[in-house]
Amino acid sequence: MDKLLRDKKAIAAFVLPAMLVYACIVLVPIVWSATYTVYDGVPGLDFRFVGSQNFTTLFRDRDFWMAVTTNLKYVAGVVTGQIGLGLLLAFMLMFGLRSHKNLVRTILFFPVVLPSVAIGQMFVKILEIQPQYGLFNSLLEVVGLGAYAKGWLGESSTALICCIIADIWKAMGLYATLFYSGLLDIPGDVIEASQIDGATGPQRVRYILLPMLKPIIMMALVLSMTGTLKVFDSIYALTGGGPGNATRMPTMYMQTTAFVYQQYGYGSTIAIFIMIECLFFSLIINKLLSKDNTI
Amino acid sequence: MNTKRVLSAVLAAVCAASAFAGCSAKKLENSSSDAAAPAESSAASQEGGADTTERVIHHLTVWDDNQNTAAVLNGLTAEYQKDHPGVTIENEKIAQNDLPQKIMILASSNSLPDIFNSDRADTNASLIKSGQIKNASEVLKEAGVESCLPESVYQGLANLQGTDEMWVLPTENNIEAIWYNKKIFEENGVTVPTTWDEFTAVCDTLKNNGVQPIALFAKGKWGATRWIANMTFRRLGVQSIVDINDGVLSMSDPTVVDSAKILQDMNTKGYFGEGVNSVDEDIAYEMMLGGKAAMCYTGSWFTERLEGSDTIGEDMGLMAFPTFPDGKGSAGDYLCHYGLTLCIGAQNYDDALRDWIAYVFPRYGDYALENLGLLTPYTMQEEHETSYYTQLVLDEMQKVTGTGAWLEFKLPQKASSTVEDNVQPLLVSEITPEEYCQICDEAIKTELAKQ
Repeated sequence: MDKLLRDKKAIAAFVLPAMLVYACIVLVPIVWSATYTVYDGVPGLDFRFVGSQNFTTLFRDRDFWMAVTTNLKYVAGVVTGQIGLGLLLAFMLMFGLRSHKNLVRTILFFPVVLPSVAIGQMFVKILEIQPQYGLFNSLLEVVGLGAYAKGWLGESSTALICCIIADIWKAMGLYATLFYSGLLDIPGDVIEASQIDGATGPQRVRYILLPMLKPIIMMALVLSMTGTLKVFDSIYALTGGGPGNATRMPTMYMQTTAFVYQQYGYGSTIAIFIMIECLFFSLIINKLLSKDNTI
Repeated sequence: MNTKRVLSAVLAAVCAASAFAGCSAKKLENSSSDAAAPAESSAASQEGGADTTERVIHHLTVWDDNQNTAAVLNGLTAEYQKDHPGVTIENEKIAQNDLPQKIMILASSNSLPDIFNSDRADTNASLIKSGQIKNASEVLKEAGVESCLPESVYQGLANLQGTDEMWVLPTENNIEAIWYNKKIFEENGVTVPTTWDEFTAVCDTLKNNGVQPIALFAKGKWGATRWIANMTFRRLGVQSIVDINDGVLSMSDPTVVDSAKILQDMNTKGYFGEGVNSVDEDIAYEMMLGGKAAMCYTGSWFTERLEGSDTIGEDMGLMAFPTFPDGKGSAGDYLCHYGLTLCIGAQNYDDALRDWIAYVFPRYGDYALENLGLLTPYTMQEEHETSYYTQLVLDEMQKVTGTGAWLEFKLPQKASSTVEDNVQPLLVSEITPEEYCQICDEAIKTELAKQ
């Protein structure tokens, strides 16, 4: 095996095919899209060179910055919810449940495997108000809070929160499973020692469990953040970006700009911005990781 | 061990085969005859009187084979095949939302189909500018069938496109008006209103009696902007909508702002029921058919739902949009349009396609009405028996003296989206009517300046 791994030709033979596929599917389109940013119109039809005009437009485009702001609020809500609830559920699985752990884990993980569009449609029905009350509005009526029943997805003040809740519900099982597997790796004698030393539950969590889970938490942060920065399908299924533009994300704005407004150059510019944004956040998290020297 | 090797080999073969699953040829929808023939016309040959020229007509559509345009073209092509057995039609269905994108992608690679639906004036403008579609009025003239459409339709479609001539073919003849439940009106002691004051009085009475006055499908957004359009052209005349689209009339005109305000007030008063932004077209129609709402503004295509309903019978009536005092528009102004229009691709246009057009379109109106109950503007060759609701629409069409258009009918797509997107926050008072009109104005000015 050592001989094989030292042989550069062997390494190239194994790595090259995958790299070629990666280059064709990922790198080439990125470069192609970056080229489009200095053009305007529809490729092959009325495509014309405009230089940096698309970037100037981007910085002045109120709709775009509104989408970015909406996305950042969404990222903050979903990441906090997914990581926070994931941790809580992991602690519950580890320390709270005496039996049926596997069954509870399966139930928690079930939403993760459901398609985003199916979850979106499910929440549309739950939050429905016309032609009849959905589950949530019906519950409000039953408990005497019928006056608060409303079209939750049809009002700007509540639509984004509903999208955040739906995405937290979908993915918290994944993070709970990740953190649970991390907790399983923590030696039992470390926890016993803390108990002997008189540490309370919250103290154990703060000074022992969380520090030892830090690498997994950081990894989960990267996963959650990059996923939420690029979100499209779940929001599209729930609200389509509405009401108005209350839940429109940069990815949706990019898709509309390129394929509906037929401004492929400007759409590519937005795509490049999203890519840089994701790289920026990944860089920050990587810096935090390397600072802690935990990897 | 041998079993493992065999199993590994089989699994590897399955994986390899699945990698090619996505490489299937373009899916053929049901064509009106058997296997497709090559697109190029071969030299015409006659066999026993039948022309055996082979030609596949590629049709990009938003309809299923048994719906609307696809059903009509399939049926007429089957008749055409009696004398032209080599001519077939191949339908490719696409979701309407994806239509503009698909058209532009095909146009950029010069591979537009022979005939295709198009629902946007700005998409058509790009295709006209790049010479990718044929001038439909010239095609009909060349085919010797220009009389299959009345002159008013040539002019109407040219106006909607903003061109001097008709570049696209109509597929329906629609008017939009207010459908109302006659039974609900009777039970609540209200009569059909003709003026705006009468209309609001009817809505108030219905609301007070616990009936939702109007089913408004604001989720699709255009259902709400139609009310602003109708109020505007009732008050300022039908030309006002054209002027808004040309940037001549500002959306911040006091009358337009007031129309937006009236729409907002209607929702505040509860005329549209709860959760108006969550109601889509299907839900609104269900509410009408189920007697849960008294009125709904929509087009004559609603007859298809009415005729398919087991419960509604002949309980639905149709009334014109109410007039306004001192309004420059008249009660005979209706918002009319011609359905999802058809474009003729220029690249593969040839004698065979022209001959097929010469056969199909003079017969389009009769076939559509007889087989689908669909009203079209094509000249009818025969008398037909009509259903109750089709006759209701035909009777209403007799009252049309002026044609209005929808608020965003030929706006550039981004401006059109802005007008539609912002109507939802307008309805629920998240923005004021002045803010709504100002946002629309800015978008219209910016996008028109780019043209």
